[in-house]
Amino acid sequence: MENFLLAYKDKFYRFALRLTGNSDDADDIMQELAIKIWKKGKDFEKIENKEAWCMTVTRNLSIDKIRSNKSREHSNIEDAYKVSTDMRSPDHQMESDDIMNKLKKLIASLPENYKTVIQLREIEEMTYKEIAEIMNIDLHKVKIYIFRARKMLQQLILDSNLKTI
Amino acid sequence: MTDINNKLLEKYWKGETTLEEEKIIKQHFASNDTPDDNLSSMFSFFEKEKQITYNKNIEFPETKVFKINFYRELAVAASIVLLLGLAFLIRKNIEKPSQNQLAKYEIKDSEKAKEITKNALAMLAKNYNKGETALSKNIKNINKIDIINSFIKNN
Repeated sequence: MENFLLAYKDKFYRFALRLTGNSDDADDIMQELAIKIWKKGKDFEKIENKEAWCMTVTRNLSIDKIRSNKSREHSNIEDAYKVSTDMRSPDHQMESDDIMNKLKKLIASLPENYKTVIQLREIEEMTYKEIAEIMNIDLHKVKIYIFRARKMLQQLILDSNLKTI
Repeated sequence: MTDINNKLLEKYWKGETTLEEEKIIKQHFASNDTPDDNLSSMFSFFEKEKQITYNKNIEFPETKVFKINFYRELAVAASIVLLLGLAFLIRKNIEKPSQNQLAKYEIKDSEKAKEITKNALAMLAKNYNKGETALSKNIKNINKIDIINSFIKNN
């Protein structure tokens, strides 16, 4: 139980972080997820796809958090992202970080369903089937969401012109 | 960008690419100086997002372990057995006699039954009379006491 969560914690955290846009909320969600798993007890071992189950729980907890957290407008999405190793010049790095933060804000502005599919497909590289299971929708709908989410993101990027914002 | 990549990119926007094809697109934008800076930034953003890790401790609630005191549990179990045994015995002793048990006292000769009933009623009447005589005697005694009491009060 604990080993499973430790093995997948990064993935669950990234998902919570992207959906809530706030590292404190994502921390809370990780603890709540641990409690949910613990409460399942022996039944947790019987779950066929534990990863999908945890992703679904993470998503539901994130949605609840977004709804209840009135101050989410002030979420510090910058702290969610830290560039690890970068050998570029400081100026270039600053410009790059700036672009990354702008992209983060653009993704954060997407509707929840689109944010979810972007995170699951583009970052976690999940199959349509896995995404359908997590979101509890059919494959056709997943395809529509991905198509629309990419189109909307493309448009947002074009409208904002990352290099000049 | 090659025609293949253009087609791939078209498929990508339509949501028709496989994960393998998407990897090719991401590698293309990550490794080359592509004319499209925006797309390059978008794909490198996705790559950087994968590097986010969670380094805090996750606390599971403590599991409560109930220690079993063997002798205490044994004493409780023995008491329950004892109580159940007693309840069974008491219930058995106060059980109403069955029809079979009552049948052996039944008098089948109607004349004899009549005689016994007569005797029983005569005994009842005699005792009733005795009781009535005793009662009237006691009432007389009470009256006597009342007279004595009033006499004491007056003097």
